[in-house]
Amino acid sequence: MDAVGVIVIAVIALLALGLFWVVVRSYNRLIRLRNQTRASWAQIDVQLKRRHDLIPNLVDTVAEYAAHERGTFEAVTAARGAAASRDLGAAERAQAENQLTATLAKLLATAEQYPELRASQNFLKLQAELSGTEDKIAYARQFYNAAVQSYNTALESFPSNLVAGLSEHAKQEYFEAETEAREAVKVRFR
Amino acid sequence: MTAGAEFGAAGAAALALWLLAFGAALLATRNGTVQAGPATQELGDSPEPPAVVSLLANGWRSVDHAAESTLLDLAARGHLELRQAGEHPADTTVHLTSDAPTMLRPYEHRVLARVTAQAGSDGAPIGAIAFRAPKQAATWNRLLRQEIVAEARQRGLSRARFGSALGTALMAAAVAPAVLFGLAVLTIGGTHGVRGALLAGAVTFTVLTFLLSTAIGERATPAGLDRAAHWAGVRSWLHAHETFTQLPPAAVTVWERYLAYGAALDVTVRINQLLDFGTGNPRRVWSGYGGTWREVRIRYPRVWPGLGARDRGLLQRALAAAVVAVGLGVFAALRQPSWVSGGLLDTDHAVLTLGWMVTAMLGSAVAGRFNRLTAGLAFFAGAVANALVGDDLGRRALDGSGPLLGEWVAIGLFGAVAGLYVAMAVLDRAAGLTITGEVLRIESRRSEKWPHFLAVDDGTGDRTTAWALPGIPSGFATGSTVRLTVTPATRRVRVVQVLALGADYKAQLREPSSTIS
Repeated sequence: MDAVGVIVIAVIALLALGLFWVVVRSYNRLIRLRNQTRASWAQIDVQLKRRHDLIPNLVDTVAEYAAHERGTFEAVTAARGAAASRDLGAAERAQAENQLTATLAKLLATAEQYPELRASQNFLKLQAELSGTEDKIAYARQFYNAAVQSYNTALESFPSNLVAGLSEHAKQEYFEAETEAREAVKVRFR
Repeated sequence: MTAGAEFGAAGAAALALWLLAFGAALLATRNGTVQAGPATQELGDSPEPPAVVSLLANGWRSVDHAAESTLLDLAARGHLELRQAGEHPADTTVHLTSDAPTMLRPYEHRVLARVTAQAGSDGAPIGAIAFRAPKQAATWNRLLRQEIVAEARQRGLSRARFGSALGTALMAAAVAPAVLFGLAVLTIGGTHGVRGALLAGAVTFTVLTFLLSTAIGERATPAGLDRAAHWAGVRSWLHAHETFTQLPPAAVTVWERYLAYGAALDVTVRINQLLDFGTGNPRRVWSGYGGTWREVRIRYPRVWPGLGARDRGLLQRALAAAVVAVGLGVFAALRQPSWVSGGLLDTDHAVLTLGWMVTAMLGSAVAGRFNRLTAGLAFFAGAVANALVGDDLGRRALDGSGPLLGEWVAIGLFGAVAGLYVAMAVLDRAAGLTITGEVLRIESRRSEKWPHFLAVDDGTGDRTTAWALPGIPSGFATGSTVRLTVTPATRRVRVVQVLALGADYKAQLREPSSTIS
């Protein structure tokens, strides 16, 4: 083999090595980003579950002072049940949680009309816990959406989009809150 | 064995024992290993402030990014506001809010005071927070660290590496080898026995106490290690979010305290590049002189003939250059082949080499840069020039046919330098300039003997060239408004009048142990 042949083969080998390195790097990055979206989703899940756990106590406490607001309690309980369903995707889950947030806002607005309830230590404690959980949910949502943004951007960018085509990667949905509903809750809590 | 040798051996043994004890103390007080916790977004119910977290994250050695993270924390809590005016995060400005801060920690007060001094009521670019004077920055950051360490100790997260008893014992033990070495020198005697003994003792004691001082610092408590593990987990969580590293300072509106903790944990790379509580970039300084903040680019004229020289010095240099030019001309005109054969110098090479060397050395002396390095370079240049001209050219140069081309160039160069210095002296004497502006930077040159570089913003442009300041008068500091009388050619500051003391100077006066330069 002459010198030109050796050089050509060396160049081809170098290019192949470079290509392999790019593919491995892109693949690993996609895996890392996907894992991060899953971990972020798990954090949301933890916070949402904490909120779901608080709701029965809150409903019971309000019911002690405002037993005739039955419709509101049922709406909250139903919304909680829908949100706690395990088979929901991110978008459906977000919708269900937004619905729950809206019913909670209504419940707390109702509570405002009962001075004795507002003075109840148990109610105040639950309110504070709910408020803290709301904040944590908000941050968890931010982290999740940031992770999804990075992942989705990687899926659309070159060359990771080519690598994504070879493996099982799909765009993730954002977890979007209804701003109006969230603000209503936050105003009540502060 | 003589008494001196015995004392010497005893001193060496005492030194070895001391080093052993010191090593054992270092080993016993070393920091435990931080086992990073699982990645988590949970900050905890009552998390440590970001500044304390920075101490933990830096292994109790430093508080890097503590000030930056505290600024972000103050913004997250509503005491400050960060606004990004343009597309680039560097276009961010910091503003005080109407929210009157209460119950701030000492280091938070310090950061807020720094921002308040720069931002006033109208706000300032984030780049303007950096200090303009290195000493002031060092003092400020040292005090900040002390305050953060105090809080970390109060929270039970940190403790002094060497307790006072251990430190005192080691320092007292350092006396033994010092005394023994001193006695050894004293016993060996000689005319300078006492002085030598004192010197040997002092040097030994100084070296040992210096070693001891390098080990003085903080170390973790068990609770501190526990919290550090938690914060390592938070760092992993934040670091895994790619976008987090590139967030701008104004993102604190969305991320609130997470951004502050990100800065403390050195995750927010871009923010940590933009926010600077150090000495900043000496070539790019933010100035608010004239009412509008802008970044002023400063040029330091390091290669400027006669920079900062007085009239007399200029004329002396001009005279020296003229003497060199005339001397070279005379040398070229008068040299004869008989010098070689007559035995004054053995070879024609030597004549030429000497000529080049003398020329180069005089040149460096005229430029005010004669030292061992330039003398060595002159010698080297002479040798190279000699090799270049070669035998034939050397012989022709010695046949009395006049200056060589290189000599003509050197004569012309020295003549021009002489003329330049005379012209500069005349210009400086004829025309003086008066400038009023704010002191941006005072940078020292090679040594204290040399005039300092003084950068002043007169509000007329975004670029300025530093002046040569022979000495620093009292009350003169960065941030002061001054009126200068300067010379246009040598850029020397003749007269300084401080019109208003700057915030930096007042801050220096307030610091308990600062040095006013």
